[in-house]
Amino acid sequence: MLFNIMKRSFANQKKAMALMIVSIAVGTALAASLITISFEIEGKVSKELRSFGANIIVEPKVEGLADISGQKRYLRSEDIVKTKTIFWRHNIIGVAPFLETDARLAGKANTVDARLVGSWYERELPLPGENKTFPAGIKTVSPWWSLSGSWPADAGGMVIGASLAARLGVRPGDMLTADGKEVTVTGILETGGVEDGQAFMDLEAVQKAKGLEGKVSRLYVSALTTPMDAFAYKDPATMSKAEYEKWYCTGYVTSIAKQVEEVFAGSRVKPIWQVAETEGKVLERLRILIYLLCAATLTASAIGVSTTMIMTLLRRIEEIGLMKALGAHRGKVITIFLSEGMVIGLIGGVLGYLLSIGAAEFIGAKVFHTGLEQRAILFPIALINALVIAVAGTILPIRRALSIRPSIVLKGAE
Amino acid sequence: MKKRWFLFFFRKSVAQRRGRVAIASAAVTLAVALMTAMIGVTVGIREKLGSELKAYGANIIVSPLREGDFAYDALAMIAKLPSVEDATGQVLGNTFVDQQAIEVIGIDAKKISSMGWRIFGKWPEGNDEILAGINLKAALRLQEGQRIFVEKDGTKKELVISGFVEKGGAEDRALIMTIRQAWTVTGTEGRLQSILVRGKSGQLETIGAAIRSALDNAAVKTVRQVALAEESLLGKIQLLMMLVTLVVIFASAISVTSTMGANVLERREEIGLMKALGATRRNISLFYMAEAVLIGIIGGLAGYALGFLSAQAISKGAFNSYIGIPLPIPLAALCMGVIVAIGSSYFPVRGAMKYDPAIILRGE
Repeated sequence: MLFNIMKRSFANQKKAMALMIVSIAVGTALAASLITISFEIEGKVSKELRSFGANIIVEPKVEGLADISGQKRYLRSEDIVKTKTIFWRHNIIGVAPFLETDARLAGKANTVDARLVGSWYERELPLPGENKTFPAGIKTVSPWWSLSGSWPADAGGMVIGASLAARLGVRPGDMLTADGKEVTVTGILETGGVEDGQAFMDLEAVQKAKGLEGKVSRLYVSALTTPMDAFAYKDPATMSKAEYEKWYCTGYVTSIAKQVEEVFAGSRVKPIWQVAETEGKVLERLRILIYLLCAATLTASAIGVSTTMIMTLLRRIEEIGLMKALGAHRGKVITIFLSEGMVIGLIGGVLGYLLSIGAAEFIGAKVFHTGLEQRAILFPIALINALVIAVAGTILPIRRALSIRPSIVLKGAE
Repeated sequence: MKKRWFLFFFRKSVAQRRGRVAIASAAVTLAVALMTAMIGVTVGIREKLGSELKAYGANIIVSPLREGDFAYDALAMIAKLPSVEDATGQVLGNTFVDQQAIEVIGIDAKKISSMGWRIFGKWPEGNDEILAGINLKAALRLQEGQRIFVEKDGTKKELVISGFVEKGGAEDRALIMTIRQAWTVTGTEGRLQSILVRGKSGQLETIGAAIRSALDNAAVKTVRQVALAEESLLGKIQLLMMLVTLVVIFASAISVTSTMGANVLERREEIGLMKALGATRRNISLFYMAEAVLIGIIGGLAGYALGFLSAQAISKGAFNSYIGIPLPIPLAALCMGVIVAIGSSYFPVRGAMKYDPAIILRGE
């Protein structure tokens, strides 16, 4: 009988039912797509923030006055691939080595004593223990460097910083002499930093020319990190064993720096705080923002759906009066309308979930150029959400209808 | 229909159906509130996040052309240029500790806290307290609270290391002090060696040109790292917010439409009766439009108030500061409310009018 009543009810009021289902579907879709975005936003923005450059610097460890007196110490270039063996290896998305030396450059206009830096621009390195490679070089840590021309492949080419090029009076394609050797200018580099006054060559070429085989003086690492919280600022030296383990296994910039230090012989690894700290702050703010937006939108859409349900059910007050007049119990009436509400909620929930996939996909593709990962857990959440809204939207008007005497309702006056 | 009758019907209709008008207004209120809040946050987010990004540092660096320096007044002049959010001067020089040359960086002490440096130990407070770069700690075997003697051109000065700075840059190898302290230590009273400028992103070229024309010995450089990354990040976040707002507007419009639609569906009999009594289509639609306008105005005003408050609450929660909502938004909210209300009852009313009054009145 219940089934029969419901079937008739749906068949007779197609428009009203469709309105309720659409309303629930849209409310659920809104909620589900915002939740999908909030799951993903931290990871996506964290990747975006990496375009601000490296957040970890690896330097040779120095004791005494050696550091400031200019006595040179080096790191070993064979250790570079080891950054991909640490606990958080998958979070290391960029690494670039630098070997700093000096050279006398003679161009058309001037002869200048300049800093000559060896590095990689784009280089595929073998992944230890696996038959794969990973990208390394300046491009992976400093994507903002603007290079017009190309990076030299061998000892015969050189890239010149913009202000140095102006002093030397050279342009791409020109020849100049570096420490007496002829090289071609393959490109001009502009960064707005000290690099504008430096000359760059391939790392191996500089190592060979200066007799510093296998040596680098500095390394920049770009890593995806967990924002620093109060716990992360604790000094690891004062942590208990359990705390230390928790710290070590969380992707804080400090713990990743510590792990990099462990694989680099004779190194001192520091976070670049300017970058690391701002990153944490921005992520934190965005996370709160999205949560608050989610809460506001969820509340609003729940209330919005309820108003539709209430509006639709109010017109059925007469129906309820008739049921009561025919001798239906409160329980019976409530069962009928609640079952109706639940069917509406189920259909609306499924439709809403499907809609949310489209919406999240669209936003993800437009903003981050990749889709957002759909989580299966969202399906039951969307269904429950839709059901709760539908039931809540049913109970309110039904209770009101039940409290009215049938004779009055049937007379047509409320 | 005479005007008097129209008003009579209208008043009666609204008074007798207060509950429904209230619910419909609530739906419009929510929709407008949601739109207002989303638009408010979207408009404000650039500025809010931009100020968080300040810690990435200056996006323009002004240094002297060739050898030289700037007078301290140059700083105030640059700070006054349009689109410049912040400008700070630096004294760069060196001094000797145990016959060892050490770099000295003098900065505006008030700005340090916003620079994202990590400080170990105490803040320098007294006139002789300074910070030391973390690399110097091992190099000079320094400790917190230790006294050191710095010597330059025969003048000796005693300083106290109150703490250490870790930044991951040149500061890690230098002594960090206030501009005034740096002037006494390096003996360059009243001069600055570098000026760091933070300009509004997107305006950097204009600012650079203005600085060049104001200071004849200035080399102005845009820090590409900060400028580009910032622009791209802020652009993406704003695009994200805009798209979410779009989805929200779409969803709330549908929600209002279905509420208003249900409202009109319920009144098909009424429409049938009106037609049976000889009302023209125009009469009927005017009647319902008037009701929709009323609902739209109530919902628009209440929605703006609610949306304004939620935008402020969200901004306070996420960024710990309030946002300024641009002036046209209240007006837009009102219009939005009325348009949404009218638009969402237009189609159901038109639909209801298509039916033959005889059929509707029979209750089918």
